[in-house]
Amino acid sequence: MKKLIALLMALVIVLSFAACAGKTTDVTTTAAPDASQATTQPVATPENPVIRLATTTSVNDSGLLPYLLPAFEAETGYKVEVASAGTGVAIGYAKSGDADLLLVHSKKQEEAFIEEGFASTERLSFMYNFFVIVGPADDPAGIKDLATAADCFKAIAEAGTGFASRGDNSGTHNKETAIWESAEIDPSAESWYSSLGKGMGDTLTTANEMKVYALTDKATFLSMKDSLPNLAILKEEADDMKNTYSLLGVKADAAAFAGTDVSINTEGANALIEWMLSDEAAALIADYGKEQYGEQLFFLIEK
Amino acid sequence: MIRIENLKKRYSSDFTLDIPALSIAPGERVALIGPNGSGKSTLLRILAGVLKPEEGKIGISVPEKDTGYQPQNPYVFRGTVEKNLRLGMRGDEDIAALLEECELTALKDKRADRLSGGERQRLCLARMLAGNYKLLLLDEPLSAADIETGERLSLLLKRYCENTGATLVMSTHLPVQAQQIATKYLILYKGQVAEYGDAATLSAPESEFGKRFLSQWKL
Amino acid sequence: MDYLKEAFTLLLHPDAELMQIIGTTLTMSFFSTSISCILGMPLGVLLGKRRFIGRSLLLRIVNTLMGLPPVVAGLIVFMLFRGVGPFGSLHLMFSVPIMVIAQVLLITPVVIGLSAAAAGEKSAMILETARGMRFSGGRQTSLLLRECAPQFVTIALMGFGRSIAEVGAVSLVGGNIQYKTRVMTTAILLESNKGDFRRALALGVILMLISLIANIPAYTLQEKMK
Repeated sequence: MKKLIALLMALVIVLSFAACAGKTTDVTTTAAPDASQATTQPVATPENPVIRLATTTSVNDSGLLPYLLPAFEAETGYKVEVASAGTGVAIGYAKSGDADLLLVHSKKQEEAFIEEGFASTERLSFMYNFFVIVGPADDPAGIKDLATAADCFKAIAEAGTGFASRGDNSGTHNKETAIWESAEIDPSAESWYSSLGKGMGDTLTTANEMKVYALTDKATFLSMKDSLPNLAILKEEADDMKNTYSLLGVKADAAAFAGTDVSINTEGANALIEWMLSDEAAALIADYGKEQYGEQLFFLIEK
Repeated sequence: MIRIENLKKRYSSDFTLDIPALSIAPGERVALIGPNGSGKSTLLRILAGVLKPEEGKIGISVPEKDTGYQPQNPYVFRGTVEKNLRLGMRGDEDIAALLEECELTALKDKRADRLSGGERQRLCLARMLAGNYKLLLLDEPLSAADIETGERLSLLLKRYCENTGATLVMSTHLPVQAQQIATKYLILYKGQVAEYGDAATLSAPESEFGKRFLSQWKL
Repeated sequence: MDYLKEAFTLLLHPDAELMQIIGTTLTMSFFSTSISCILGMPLGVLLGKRRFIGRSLLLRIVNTLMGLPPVVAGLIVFMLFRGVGPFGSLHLMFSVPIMVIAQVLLITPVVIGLSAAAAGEKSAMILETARGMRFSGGRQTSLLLRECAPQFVTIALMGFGRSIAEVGAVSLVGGNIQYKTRVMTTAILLESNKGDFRRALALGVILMLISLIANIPAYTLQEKMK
């Protein structure tokens, strides 16, 4: 009986694999027509054409990657599969051998990742944006004119009017925790503090409903602004609110992969890293958001 | 035909079917009677081979494939009355005649699960007759029929047995039906045979229980 | 009302991505439902009709698994099939087949439990009647299956419903990759997370339409069977 089940499973896996494989390639070619027309002739397909990029929801949801990647794919013939989750899960995917590179924004976790021997590169910090503190437009805690994020958090804690936290161990959440630490406040047990365990979008939606403060990356907030009528940006561009994005390659021969069948597309990952750090990508990144939101959303780190 | 020796089968926490010796000759029509829990269904199920006895020997000269058994509250299958009847057929029986005899012609296209209790029993009886069995073991086949229908069907069953020479063992709690069909009467009480014999048994029971039971039977 | 209008506009003029999402969703749900039924129905019937030692324990396990949270199913499959996991060499992460596997883990117990209940209710009576009519063992089983067929249709539909509406397991092992493993539910989650509630709701309406369309032939089939 066991054998039979195993056999059936195997059969079906193969079948569905075949069924889906045909479909995927099919759709991909029709999916990115603009990019392939915009650039010159696509080069020949690389030997291992699929690059698995694990990233945070904020980069993907804000639309940056869907905006950037078609150009890269058309130029190189690579196909980038973006699995987006919180920074914690994204790094988890990479540690499991299921990603070739990471695009994340959490210094502490990135450093831990390197320390544990998973990284094939150093932290390639190449762009940043600003976290912003959003909240009810009438600003009940009076944070508007304070100097740093830590000061703002202190005022929010004093006023006790409410704060919504991602609470999901994401880059944004880690940044928030760091700010609380520098303000020397432990909000976790306070009644005005809601730890949601959700993505950025959900957290903003909740903050909008509850009319409370929240920390967010600016790009996500702007992209959602229309559905967040109760929230306004109250504090931005303070020195302690920089949000730095880094690329990290995954080491093909990491100790944790020994004895497993993990295969990392190092060549592809390097190609993508090289492209992301190129002047061409820099120009695209600098342009992103100008048309739609009237301002630049991501800034490049001077090399 | 049917020979039972030293049969023992426990059928509830209190009772054991215990029949030292019993034989039923070919062509007999045996009415199995007795109060609830006396072991009637157990005996029928053992004869049908559905239950295995703990002890004793059962000899039946009819091959199992020619022994038709119908449990109490038999299942009717999905589909129409006619479809059910066809499921029971094993040869080239005349289905129209059978429908007619069992008063099912008007119902033949009706969904079997929408029949009334009496209609349902008629269908099940017809389905058994369609199988053309040499030995029929029927558990309360006519309990839901009204008096008049019950009488017609009893006579039908009797005629079938006479015409085909089939042997019949059926349980019933209705004295009238028993008398209309049976050539032999087997009274069970707490798993034991209280009386077994022909029509004379009914008027002159020997056992204490037989006397008490038959006095309530209002023959 | 606007949302409905948008849903229909989207449905009438689907973009390539939506077509792909619907295609992947249907492929995934078709396979997870079929495999779950192929595995679960015979096991369920067996569990429903046979009396054997350990049966009640097995039934209890199945009933517990029926309540398995999708995320937990996803997590189990993730741990098994991730690159460094015991089945990592199959390289199935972030693919439709692995989503199917996670869903099979999720749906099969439901199919087993419901099939056992469907068969158990009447199998004793069906089998005794069929046996009394001297049907062969094979015919008895096929009759039993035939009698349970209308319930099987319902069970398959329930499995399909659970599969198509499930998000926890497929987002974890599927990764919600655009043009590859994005399905209706993960797309809805993504759109609502992006704050695009209109598109999210429109997708939700389309999802329900698909469910409805799947229900119609099944219902007709069931009526026909009676």
